[in-house]
Amino acid sequence: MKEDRLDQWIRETVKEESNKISVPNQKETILTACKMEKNRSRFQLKKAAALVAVLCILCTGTALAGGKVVSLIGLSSPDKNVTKYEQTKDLEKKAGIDAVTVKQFKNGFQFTSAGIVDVAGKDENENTVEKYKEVSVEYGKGKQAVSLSLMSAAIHTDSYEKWTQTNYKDILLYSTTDHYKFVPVDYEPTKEELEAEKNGELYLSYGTDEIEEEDYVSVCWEKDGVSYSLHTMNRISESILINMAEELIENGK
Amino acid sequence: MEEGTESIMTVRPEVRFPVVEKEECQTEKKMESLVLDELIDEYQPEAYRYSVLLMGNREDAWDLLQETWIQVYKKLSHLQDPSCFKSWFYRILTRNGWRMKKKQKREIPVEDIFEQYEPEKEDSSEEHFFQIERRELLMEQINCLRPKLKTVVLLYYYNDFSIEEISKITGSPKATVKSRLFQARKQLKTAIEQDEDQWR
Repeated sequence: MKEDRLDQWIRETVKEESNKISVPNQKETILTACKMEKNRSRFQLKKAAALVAVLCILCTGTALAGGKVVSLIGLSSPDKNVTKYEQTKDLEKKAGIDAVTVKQFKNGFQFTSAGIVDVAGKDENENTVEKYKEVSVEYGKGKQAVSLSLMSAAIHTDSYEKWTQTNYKDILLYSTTDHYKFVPVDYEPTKEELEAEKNGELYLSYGTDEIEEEDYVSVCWEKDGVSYSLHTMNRISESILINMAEELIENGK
Repeated sequence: MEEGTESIMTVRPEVRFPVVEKEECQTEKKMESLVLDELIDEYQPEAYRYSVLLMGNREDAWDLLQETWIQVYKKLSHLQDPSCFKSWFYRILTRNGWRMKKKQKREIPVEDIFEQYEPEKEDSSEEHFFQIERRELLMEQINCLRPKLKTVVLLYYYNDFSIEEISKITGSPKATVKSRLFQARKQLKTAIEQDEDQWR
């Protein structure tokens, strides 16, 4: 933009006058505030039975077409979630599946919302190996929450090594409970904890402000071309999730 | 999760819920702190002054900056082109400032902002006092501009952003930015000329 003498004078004056404003040294305060805020956010993400967990559980060790998936990118838009149970079928159509769900389980867990997750599986060279859609259905009871993840069984090729296997009406149910400990970055694990981590009995995750322990419970099965996964981190036992799985299997008959 | 949020995690066969390894966390924190440290050193002084002028007082400027730096820290990994950091930073800063201004009830006269200024060696000439008054009047008039006009004035004359950059920062079309700049300039010019006329 062409400038004249007035512009030059305004620019010169504004700069000179503004530079007279003394700037306090606030760097340490800003750095501390940023770190505290980030720790708080990370802790909340890890604590919730969130979308992140949904993607992980359905694709552990998955070998999708074209290569081994080592990372997943999931895109969700919570504002597009549905809050009416009847709309869940529309989401299933988008994901190319026809699943069995319930509005309310006998144990009191009720439908709260559902949404689509667009997932891209990447190999170790960051190449997108596969793209697909999952449906994530949320159930709540008081402060507790359980997530039900649905995807096409044609895509999902998990191996359930080390999971507990049960049979319910000719359907194989795989269940597992993983113990997690969320700790600050400078936490020093005990010898016992390191041993447990090595044996796959404990998972340590660093970066939170507080120490918290949680059990992550999962139950998975396949039926009629759909891969199901119930999972939670709300102190709910495997047996409760297995009962919920059995109820869904019954509903599908 | 926020709208359209991407989640990225490393999947290992034996782990069903994402974990952050200690070394990964330490490295990440170290990198983040290092980057933020450098960014604050480079951008904080000018940003603080811009915030004081935008908000009209130091207290609100500090709140604005703290909130902005936290957002920057959380979203830094989303910035794809580091060379765009300055305009990206000022975009967050400006939008936060406008939002806070809407809630702001009080305005502090511009004299209070410069209260720590120590006058230079005395020059008692009439011309010198006239120049000082003219400059003070300009700053006072800038402070009285409505927020969106004040913003373009500061971004253009103080921060030296181009029209295109200001357009991206404010989210307004270039024509709107030019129009606001023209309008602000006209108001400032009129105020200064009217003041000069008083003394003739």
